[in-house]
Amino acid sequence: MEAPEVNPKSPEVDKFAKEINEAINEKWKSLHALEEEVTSLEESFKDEEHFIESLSSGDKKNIKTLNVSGTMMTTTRATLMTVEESVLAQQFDDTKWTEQGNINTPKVKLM
Amino acid sequence: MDQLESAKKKLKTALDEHERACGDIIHEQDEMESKLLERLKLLDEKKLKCTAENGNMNASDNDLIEINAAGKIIAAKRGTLCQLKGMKNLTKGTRFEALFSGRWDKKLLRDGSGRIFLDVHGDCFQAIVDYLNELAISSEDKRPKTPTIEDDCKPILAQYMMLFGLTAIPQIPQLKHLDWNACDGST
Repeated sequence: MEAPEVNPKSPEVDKFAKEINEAINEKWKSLHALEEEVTSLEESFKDEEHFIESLSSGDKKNIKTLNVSGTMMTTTRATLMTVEESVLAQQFDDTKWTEQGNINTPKVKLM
Repeated sequence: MDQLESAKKKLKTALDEHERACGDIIHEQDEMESKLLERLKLLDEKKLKCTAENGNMNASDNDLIEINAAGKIIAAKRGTLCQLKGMKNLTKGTRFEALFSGRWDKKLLRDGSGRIFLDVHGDCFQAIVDYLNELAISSEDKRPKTPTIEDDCKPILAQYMMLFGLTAIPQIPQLKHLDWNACDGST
């Protein structure tokens, strides 16, 4: 019972000759290490996909360049509208953008 | 004579049993091995397909990348931005590396001038790029420790280091014992 288990699915082998036990257990160990690595690579790629997705979501026309009394800033409309009820959010409200035809005007002047 | 026959039979049974048990385990191991190799192969195919669909197959370290960091324009070589490739091992990239690797070039959001657009604090992002620049030209024993920035921005910078997966890069020994908390501005 006290024997260290390599994995719940593949307990350490001790019923064969010493050399064979060792060889089998070594292979289990490296297989489980490889499994961990493969899982981590798969997760890493999934994370990469999600990360890129979260960064690149949105439309090019929602990138807004602002001229705030001379300082140029660029951001997305989603960022400007993060706080829903704010005046800032209202200013960049979807409907108003369309009404003002600002999609074609890249720079917004704020004083 | 009978005794010998029964002993022989016993030996034969024991040997067969031994062989069967050993064979079972080896078979089990071989199956696990081929399953894992299959998973690796699938992952590689998926990555390749993804690059073909969303990326630039001819990405080179010498490409000049232009970034629009919320209004601040930053230019750097792809090789500089992508030098910190791995977290655990060399095949696993950081998010920062992923972003500029070329694997996602077609998918990334771009501004009107075709620059990669990131809605981030420009100065903080610049600090990371400056740090990578310095890292690229520094000698082994004189690595810059962390990106530096004025105190006000330290919490944001620390957050970005986390976001971009740059807080633990063990394969660069000089970076191993970094105190990233130094970036959190809590002092």
